Amino acid sequence: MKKIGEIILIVILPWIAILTLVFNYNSDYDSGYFPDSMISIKKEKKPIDHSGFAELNKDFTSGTEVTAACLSCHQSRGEEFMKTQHWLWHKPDTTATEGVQDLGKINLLNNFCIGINSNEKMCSMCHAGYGYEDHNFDFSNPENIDCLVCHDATGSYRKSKPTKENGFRGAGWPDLSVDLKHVATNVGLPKSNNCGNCHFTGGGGNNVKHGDLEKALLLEHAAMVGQMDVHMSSTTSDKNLQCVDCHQTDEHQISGQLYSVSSSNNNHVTCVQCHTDRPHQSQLLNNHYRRVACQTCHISEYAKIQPTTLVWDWSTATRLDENGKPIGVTKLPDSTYFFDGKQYEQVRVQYDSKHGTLVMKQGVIPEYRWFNGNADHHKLTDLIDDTLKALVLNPLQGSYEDNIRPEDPDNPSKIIPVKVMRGRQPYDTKNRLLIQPKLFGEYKGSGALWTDLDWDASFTAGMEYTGLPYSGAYGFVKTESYWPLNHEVSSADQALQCADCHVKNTGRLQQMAGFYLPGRDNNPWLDGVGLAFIILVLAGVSIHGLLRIFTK
Amino acid sequence: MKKVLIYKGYERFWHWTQALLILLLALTGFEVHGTYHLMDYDKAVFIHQNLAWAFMVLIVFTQFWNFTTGEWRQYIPTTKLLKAQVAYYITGIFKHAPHPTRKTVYNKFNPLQRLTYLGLRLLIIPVVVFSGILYMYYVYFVDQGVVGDLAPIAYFHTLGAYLLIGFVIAHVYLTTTGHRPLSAIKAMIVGWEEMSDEDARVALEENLKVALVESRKSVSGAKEADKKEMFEVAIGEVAQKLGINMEGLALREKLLHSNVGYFRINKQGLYEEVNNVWLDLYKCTSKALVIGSHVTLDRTEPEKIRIMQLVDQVLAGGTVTGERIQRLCKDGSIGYHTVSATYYKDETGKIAGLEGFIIDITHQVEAEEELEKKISKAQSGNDFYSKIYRSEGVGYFKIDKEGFYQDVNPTWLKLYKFTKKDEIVGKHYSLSRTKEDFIRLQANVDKVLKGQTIPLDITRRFCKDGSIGYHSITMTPVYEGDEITGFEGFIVDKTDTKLAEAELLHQKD
Repeated sequence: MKKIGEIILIVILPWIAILTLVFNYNSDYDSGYFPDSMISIKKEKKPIDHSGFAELNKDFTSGTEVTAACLSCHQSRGEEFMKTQHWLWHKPDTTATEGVQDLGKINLLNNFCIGINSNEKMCSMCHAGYGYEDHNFDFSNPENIDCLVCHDATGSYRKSKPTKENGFRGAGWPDLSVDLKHVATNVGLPKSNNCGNCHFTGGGGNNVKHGDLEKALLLEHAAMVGQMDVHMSSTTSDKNLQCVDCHQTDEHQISGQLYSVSSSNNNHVTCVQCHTDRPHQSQLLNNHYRRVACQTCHISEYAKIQPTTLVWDWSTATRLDENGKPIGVTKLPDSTYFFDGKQYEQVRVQYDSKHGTLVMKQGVIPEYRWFNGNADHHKLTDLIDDTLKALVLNPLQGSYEDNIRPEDPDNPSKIIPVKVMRGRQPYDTKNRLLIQPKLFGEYKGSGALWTDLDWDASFTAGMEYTGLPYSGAYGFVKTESYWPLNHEVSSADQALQCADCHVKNTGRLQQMAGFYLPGRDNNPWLDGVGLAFIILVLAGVSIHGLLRIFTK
Repeated sequence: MKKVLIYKGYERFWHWTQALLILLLALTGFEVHGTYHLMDYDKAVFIHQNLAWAFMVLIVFTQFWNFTTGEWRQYIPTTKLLKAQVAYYITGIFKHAPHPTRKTVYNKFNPLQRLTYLGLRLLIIPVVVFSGILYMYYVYFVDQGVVGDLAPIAYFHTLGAYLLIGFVIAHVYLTTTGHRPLSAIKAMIVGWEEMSDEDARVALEENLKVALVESRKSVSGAKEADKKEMFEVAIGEVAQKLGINMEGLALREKLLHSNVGYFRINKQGLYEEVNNVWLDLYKCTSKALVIGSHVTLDRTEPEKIRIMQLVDQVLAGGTVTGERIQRLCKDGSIGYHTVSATYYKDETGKIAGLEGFIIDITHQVEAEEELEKKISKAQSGNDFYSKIYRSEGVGYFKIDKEGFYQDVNPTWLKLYKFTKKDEIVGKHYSLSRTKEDFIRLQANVDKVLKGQTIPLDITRRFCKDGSIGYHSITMTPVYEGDEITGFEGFIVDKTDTKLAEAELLHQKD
């Protein structure tokens, strides 16, 4: 009896105590945990009712008249707005390797519709101004500002589309259908749909460009209420945030930037500004923030409703059918597509003679990159070094090494999710410059690709417009551009789990080399020797044991 | 087959706790490593971290224990018999050769174990623990610039894990090479290891030898003032190491001042050193009279031959334990004691003499003699009663057929810590026993009531104040005419005597 008591005391009780402790004690609780419930969102105060103002109750004949009316009260707002990127479309920005550069749509190219030069008439559908149709646009006239595109509270304002057969009123002007008096008397603070008019439809359609900005984010579009982005399209008003609740604005300077056109590590809208850097109860999860951006786990997929374009191959454009006619839009859903060694599954492959081949996908898993907040840009005037490998248009800087030997300790690299946009786009094989084609024209013979289906004419017209040389010899080069993902934040239960990355072979970070990731990595040599050692020991004791039995 | 105490309570607690921790650490660790998928990754990580902390706390406690108890000496590596141990595992074990080394409480590990466990403690476990700490707090260390890549940290941690698993497999297997396949594991659980009689004898000799060396150190220690204290410490350690339940300071005091006498004799048989207890037992007033005198001087003629036999036996490299010896005291009286002795060596490693403990048993011997007389005279117990009743060394008791105390003597009261006879007379003898003890006693009482005389080995008593004592009991029936009306007997306190070798042998129930 005494022995049993002793065994219980010496062996069983400690075991029970340790098992209880080890399986239940939470050693990981972060005392600095900042729960979501403590977040308070500063809502802008309600705008003044403009419907009674005599200045606005007029039958306006043009947008500039409305703007003049606005400025008659909001006198200095015009000067203020004319300093913003929404107006200028360029700004001086510090690049990672080339110092301060004047960057913007005027001197950058992307791999969607490539560039605005010579195509302004089309592109300025999203310029917050009236009449930006070429570089003669007067950026100093405040009456050219389009106040309504952002401040329309009726939802009825839209800009005139040049692709419409009838009724194009000119670059950036209000559509003929718009009742300017009605809109002008019903202005308010910008809502998500105002921003979305342009930011959802970049690249020519809903969610084509960003992948994480689509119409379904808005409450009235949400097919998945609360699931598109936890901050938006929720039926609970405190979670139904407007863009400007996060992108806070001062003197019309709206905070936030994207590396498709920006390059320096500032002017960010961050998760941390509301959630702090300790939003999890778990210290271990909070510590991930030193190496992993919030977005990495919390944007587990993007383009949740509307497919986004992942590949745009311009080299196949201009083909004609057997009758010598341009080929209209043909779509191959649920296809598999190979590009640059990468396999795209369950994508929609779309072709037409004007645009070439587009690969689109809904519910895309992001790719991941190290990023320290600094980017470079391939400008119109930059030469291409190597035409055999994909040219990265906006190389994101950063690597795992930044964290171990940080040259800039304030900017350690983090793993971020990105949409990688791939494609083939034209370049001058002699001058080694990317080519700015003229895509949009209003009549046949304008030199525009979309009217003439002639690359050479398009390049000649486009490059002439930019003032850059064009040798007449062209080819298509593979390009990549990176679109860091910041929206379509999933709810916590949809966020990535540990084993989505900490797993062998199949993890999301499988391709990210140069560092040791627990659960993913091992040293095959060490594991081989370790396993061999254990097998040897097992074999040794087995043989020894058998010999003992036989010699008994 | 005998059982010998090898592992102390803390050791057993530590061992099994560590075993559990290492197994769970391996289980969760290789989950984190990605070797298999048994549970959620985060669950594995958090449990692994909690286990790691428990493991580190246990290490700190255990190293503290190792240093404060001196147990760390058990890990001092030795090459002595190392080859023999290796040879034993490679060939000897198949030929049923005896183990080249024997387990004792003072030398638990064979040379191969010493080397392996030291390697574990100094190399593998530190590598695993330190790489684990760096791994666990990697983000903080890397921010401080203490470490760079995680990869080498992880590799060292993994390497250590493989080595530990290899160790565990070999370790578990080698536990089966004891006296019987499960002896070693049982010993690690209950503390007492089953051994062959021969192994047990050697182990006990070893234990005794160390106990004597400790005592010798204290008696002939350099500083006069420290002697008593050192002796006390030595006795305490010995008692503790032998698994004796020390009932506070009272017992230690008793050991020191009553029954344990120390002596040392040189090769020629001349006393070199004795302690005060020894002097008291021999009723000798001055140490000077003893030192230098021959060991046969204090013996009656027949005993002289026997004592020399024992001395020669020890000088030839043997050990005697529990030999009953008669002594001739300085005042001419005769006393009895048990002696346990072993040799000691000089600087050159030669046997220089012998030393040992004596434990007085005079009262017991007297009581036994009285009992013999009573039995030989048959039935008339008056003599026995009156002599034993007056004894200060043995406790007398008389109990009726029904089991109720009728009489006890003052010594009995003292041993049970009662103050008055009234407190016990009329009470049943099951009082002051546990159920198990009572059942064992009852079986013997039944035999006595049928006419037998039974000497009982060590029996446990619960004293009035709740403390525990040990004594031997001798019971004999009480006759009235031809009818047995009860039983009487004497108890001899053995609480001190637990030190002696008889108690080293832990006979299984």
